[in-house]
Amino acid sequence: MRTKDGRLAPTDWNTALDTVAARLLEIRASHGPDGVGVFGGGGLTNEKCYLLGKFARLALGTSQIDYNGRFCMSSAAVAGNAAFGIDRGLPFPVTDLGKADVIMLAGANVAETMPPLMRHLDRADLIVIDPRRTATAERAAMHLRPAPGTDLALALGLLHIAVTDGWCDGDYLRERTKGFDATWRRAMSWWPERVERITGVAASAQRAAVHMLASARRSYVLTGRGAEQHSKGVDTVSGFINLALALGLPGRVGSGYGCLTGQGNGQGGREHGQKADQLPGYRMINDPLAREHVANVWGVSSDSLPGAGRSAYELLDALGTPTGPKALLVFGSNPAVSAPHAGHVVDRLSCLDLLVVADFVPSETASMADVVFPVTQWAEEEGTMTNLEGRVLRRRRIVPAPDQVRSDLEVLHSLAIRLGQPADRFPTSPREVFDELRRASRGGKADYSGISYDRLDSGEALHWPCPEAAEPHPGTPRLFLDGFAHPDGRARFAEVDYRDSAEVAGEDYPLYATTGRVLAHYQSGAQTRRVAELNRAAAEPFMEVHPDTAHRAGLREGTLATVSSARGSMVARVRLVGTLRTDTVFLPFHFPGHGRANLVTSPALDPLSGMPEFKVCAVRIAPCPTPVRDSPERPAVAART
Amino acid sequence: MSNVLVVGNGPASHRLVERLHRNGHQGTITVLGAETRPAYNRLLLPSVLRRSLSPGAIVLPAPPAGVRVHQGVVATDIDPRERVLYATGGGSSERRETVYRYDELVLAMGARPRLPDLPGAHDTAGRLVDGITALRTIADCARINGDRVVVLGAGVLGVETALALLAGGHHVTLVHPRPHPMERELDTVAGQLLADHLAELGIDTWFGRHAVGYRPGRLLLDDGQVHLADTLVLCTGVVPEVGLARRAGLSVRRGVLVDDRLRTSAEHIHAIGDCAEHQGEVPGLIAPAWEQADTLATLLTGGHARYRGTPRVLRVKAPELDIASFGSLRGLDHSDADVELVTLTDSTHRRRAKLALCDQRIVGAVVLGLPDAIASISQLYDRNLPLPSGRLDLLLGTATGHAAAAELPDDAVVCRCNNVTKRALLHAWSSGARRVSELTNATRATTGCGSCVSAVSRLHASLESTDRLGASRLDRAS
Amino acid sequence: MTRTLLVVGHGMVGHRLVEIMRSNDLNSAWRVVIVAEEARPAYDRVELSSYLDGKSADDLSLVSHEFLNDPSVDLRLATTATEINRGPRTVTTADGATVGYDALVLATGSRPFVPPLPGRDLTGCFVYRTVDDLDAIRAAAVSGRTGLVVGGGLLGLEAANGLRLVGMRPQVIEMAPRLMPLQIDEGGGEILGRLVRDAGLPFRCGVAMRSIDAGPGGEVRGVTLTDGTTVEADLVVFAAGVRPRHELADSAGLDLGDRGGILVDEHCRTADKHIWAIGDCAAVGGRCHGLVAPGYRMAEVVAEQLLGSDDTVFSNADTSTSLKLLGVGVASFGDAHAKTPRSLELAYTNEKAGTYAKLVLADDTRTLLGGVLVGDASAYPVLRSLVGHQLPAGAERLLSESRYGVSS
Repeated sequence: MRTKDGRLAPTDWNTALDTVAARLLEIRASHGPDGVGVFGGGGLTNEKCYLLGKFARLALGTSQIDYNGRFCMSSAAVAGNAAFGIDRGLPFPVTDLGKADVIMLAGANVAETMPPLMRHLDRADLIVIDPRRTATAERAAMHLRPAPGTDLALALGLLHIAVTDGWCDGDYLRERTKGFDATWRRAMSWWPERVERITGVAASAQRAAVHMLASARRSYVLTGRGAEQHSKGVDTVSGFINLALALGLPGRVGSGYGCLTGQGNGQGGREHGQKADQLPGYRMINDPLAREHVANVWGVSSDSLPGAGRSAYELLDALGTPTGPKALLVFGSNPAVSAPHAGHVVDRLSCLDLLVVADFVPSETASMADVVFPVTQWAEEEGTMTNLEGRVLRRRRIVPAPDQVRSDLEVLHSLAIRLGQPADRFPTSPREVFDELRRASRGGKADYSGISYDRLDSGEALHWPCPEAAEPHPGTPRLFLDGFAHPDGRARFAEVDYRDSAEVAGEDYPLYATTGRVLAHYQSGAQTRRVAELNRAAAEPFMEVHPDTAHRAGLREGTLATVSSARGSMVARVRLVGTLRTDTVFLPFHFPGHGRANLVTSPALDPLSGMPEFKVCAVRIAPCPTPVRDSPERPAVAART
Repeated sequence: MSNVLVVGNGPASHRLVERLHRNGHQGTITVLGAETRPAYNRLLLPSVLRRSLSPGAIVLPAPPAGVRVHQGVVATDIDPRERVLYATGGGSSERRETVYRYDELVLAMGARPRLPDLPGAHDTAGRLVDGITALRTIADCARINGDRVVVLGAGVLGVETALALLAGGHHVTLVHPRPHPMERELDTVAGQLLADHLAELGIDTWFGRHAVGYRPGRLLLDDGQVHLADTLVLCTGVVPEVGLARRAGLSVRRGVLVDDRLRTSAEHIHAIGDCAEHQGEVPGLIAPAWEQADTLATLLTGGHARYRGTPRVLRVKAPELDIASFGSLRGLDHSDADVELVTLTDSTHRRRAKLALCDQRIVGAVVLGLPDAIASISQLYDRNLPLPSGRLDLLLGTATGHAAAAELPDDAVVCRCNNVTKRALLHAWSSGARRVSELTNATRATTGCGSCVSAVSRLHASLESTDRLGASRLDRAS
Repeated sequence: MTRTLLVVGHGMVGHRLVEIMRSNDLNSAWRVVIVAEEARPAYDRVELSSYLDGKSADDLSLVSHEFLNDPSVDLRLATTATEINRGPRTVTTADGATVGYDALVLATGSRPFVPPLPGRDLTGCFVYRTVDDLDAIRAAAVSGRTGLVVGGGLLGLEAANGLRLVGMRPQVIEMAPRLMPLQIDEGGGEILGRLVRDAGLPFRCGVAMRSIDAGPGGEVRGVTLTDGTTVEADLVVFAAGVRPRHELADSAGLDLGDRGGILVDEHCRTADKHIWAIGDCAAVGGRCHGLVAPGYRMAEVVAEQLLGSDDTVFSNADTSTSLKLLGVGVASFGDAHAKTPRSLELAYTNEKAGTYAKLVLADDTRTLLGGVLVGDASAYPVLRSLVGHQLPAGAERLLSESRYGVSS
């Protein structure tokens, strides 16, 4: 807890909880329930996500809850729901990929960001779409290198070729889809030579890619953050889904479309109600039936449930403003580093009357907090996670948590009581929470009601939806085989057209910056930067840049560069990469302080998903005049012992 | 709030209407199209000839709700003062004249084919006889019949058409009066390579030959040859459709003259696309037409915009060929003093690039057979970015690793006179020769013609820096 | 037992052979006799023009004091070999002497080619090969008057430069459509032509000589060209190539190459196992090489055999050339004319900077086969050493770094 002189100093749990609860009540009293916000994380267990959503809606009564998954998979979620009626990362078991002949990876650097998945991709010829020659691209049979922010044009061009070159599956289009005609009339004007001019991907390479994908017996289209993190992320993902649909891939054994997750519980994190517009079971908060069902499970009236709140960046942007929350509870997230336009986000966080962070590492966000709750981490707790294929996995405790550390569930429970909630409404046992989650999800898209700890512990592989039934439901490893999750069973084409990114490189900011991850670090780096070995592998912020571009800017290998956008500047060590486009620099976003890539990124949001445009913003680069030393915004939190 | 009337229902008009709608245009939008079908994408006619798309598949998206499109309507006159336009057709009574009032009028009539003065090609009324067609509309496509098709004119459209017809299963003869195809876009070397390529693909090509006469089913050339032609397709250029503008008294040169705001010489009348002439240019390409449409849509909805011309990029649309031309060919042929030329010639694989650079930026280029180069150069040209220093990699589309100093292989002979390899110099270095003079004493390198002095110095410098790097690594490790 | 090596000719190549022999023949197995036609010991013919630029004949000499006093070397200057007697293995000289040999190496070099034109023997016609030739040109030079050079190749441009050094106004006539046609391709020729003209040397290409016209005193007054035009000139220098001097071998019954030169195998050996030929006079496998570098390589090949090894053969003659003429750097190396099947050419032309650089690459698009540099030949040493190798990343920067300041 922060002392009077501004330090974070250890205190006892009761003091901390009492203080937080008292402040929350004060703020709620003077600003209303929406005066308090909650920011969750895609790394939390299903149980924590669920209880956090419930806590926000019931204990706080606020609509202002969202989570960092908004920065991760929200575009694919919207596009997937629109196309298929359900959003599950992979609607097939990941092992199916091991039998694929061709896999198109649109904006996914699996080799660095999800290395274990690579063994499933060994057999297939990969078509990698990425502006950079990533480790994944190195292993690809074909690498298409579009200019940052132009993936949608490429997707439209590939669809155009699929049509003109006769690769479409006519029967499939007629029987299993809707909306192809309108989609084609947009894609029609994206002939390959035009796409070439926008994307920089040769027309012949586009044709070859479609040929490869379409003529293979088993082929898949997978999208990652590279397709999603744009102000047109939903449309971009839809563009690739359109392609997959035109070729007749989804809803069949041995082919399909899927989205790769970015966080430990990226899939489960978005199903249980920590999203601004959702309730457990992947239900929409504006759907009266969904509200009724969940309110019933929670034992409250559906009228008492708040409506939809702000999306993640909008929430952060509103903090401390007259209409925005005055207090924020952060669970398992580090937005001071991971949010776009991070300098501004730090400013917003500083304007709060109360910032509470529950984390197991002293993150940059925690270092700004008024109260930090030290909570358990993966090896110290029980729970479940849902992986990218919609399969529920058990997390088991293998070491006892250190003294003075409590689980997030316990923290929520303790706070809820202090906020006047009945004690049994917020159980602390993960199994109990899960059983409630099952009931809440019953009948929803992501139906967990047939999944139990006992079944999981007995070794069953259960993919949702898995409804409770007289005979134990086997789960659904492969969705859509009989039909898509729309009432008529048909998948929907999305009528998308290309548009420029929010920022176009110009005279003042002539280069594109694109951000991403490296092998050694995870997300904001709050965890991985504490591991000596990983820190040795990638110790400091760097910028990948083409030697010619560096030379023009007066930069050499190993020197320090200032990267500036219209929003701010960051400092990074120069790495010359001859395979990079000369108009693009790459910035990993794992680093704190002046090395935060998100100091320059754009907060332009996708109008449908609220996804920020992490993957492209206009910057300029220059030698860094003086060595920069990071001074923490506030004194660092004492490390947990 | 204004009522916009658009004459012409092609891609430029279609784009304008969509943008007006997107920009929140208040007021009516009326489109008059001469063809009796909805707007379609003319650029995809070759795909129709290829039979990869049906005529119906190239129909553009329906206009936004509220837009009135009148098909089969021919504008006959404009009264700029009264802001009215007269037109005929549209509906049952073809001869009936209709009057359209406008607040803003946009001319987007496009262009019509230029027809050669070929004896026997026209009937007494001046219409093309059966068996001959230009290629501008869907209806034209339907006129192509029979196995043997002769394409007259090997400009861009002629080449695209010939290839499409070939892919569509026709026996294709291509006749062109110049020594090689696309002479306005390609230099001689590239033109010759393209000619070879077309012939190899199976097109019967006749360059440097003039058509002198037509008899049903036959085309006569100036050298006396007669080519069988079930259909003769004329790809002999286009001329802007300016008759209406002329009649209305607007300023017209080749096209209807417009300024940076796409205004014609008459108030409240604008022109875009193939019928408009801006700064002496009648581009005849889709990209400028769209850009003009976007600019005009912004202006008509109260925004600020200026049309300043579009970088000229010509790209042949055919899977069999990768050809592009950027900027003007003049810059390539009579290179003025400030221009650096980069050429790559690979006759074996019919690959050719000729780039004219100014301050490392492309001012003109011709690229043939190098798809990745075309893709990269498009981007560099459109955004006026400097070329990467690795031009060979750019042209061949090969990926570079770290573009470090030229690393010689170990067995490369550095000093030819005394047959000193890099390995020998490295050996001398590791045996303790630390200065250039010591290296040369030990190996006799540079003591011959001396032309390798700089190479040895460079190697020496690189050895020194590597050594320093190694030393600093040791420091850090300890 | 000491054997005798007789070398006929003391030019650059003959001398290089003797030098190698003397430094590598550690047991003094060979005694060397050199029969030299010129009165001067070997000198640097490549640098000949500097003789007109202030250097003395001694400056050009390749021969050291120790060499002249070497007891194992018998250098007979101003001595012309007249006959080879292959049976008894002797050579007769013009002064009547007979020299026996165990090994005979012919390094008789070449003579300038003088085309069979009317007037070729007029007073005022010269060739450009020896110090004596240059002395004669210097003596005949008339300051400020035109001296015409026949031939726009390497030697012709040298000669033109030489004429300028003696105060004349040179003009060059080249039959081919461009200067240095053997070394430089069309694109390079255009730039070279401009640079040469800018340097104040007028020239005409694509036209040949019809006659050399005499004045009243029987001296050169001008020339008439094949297109009918005439050019006034007080002096004509023939620099239209060289022809091998193979007469001595020919009269001894040794075979000649189809296009002249003493026919030798890849070991530079004639059909007579005691006789070799090296340098300009040798036709290795039928082909003559008019450059010093291949001559040196031949000298090495023969020296190795004489010293007991015959592993090395002469192959892959390096015809690379690099020179600075009239301030213009020019280089040509490897397959400069892209004659290799399936090769491709990458060229940079910069009119403003006056530079041309071309790389010829194998069809793997990476292996360097040759190239041409005009205007700035600074990349020559590195590029030449890369011939036959894959171009390393960034090699192109060598071509552009001086112009763009792109350092690596």
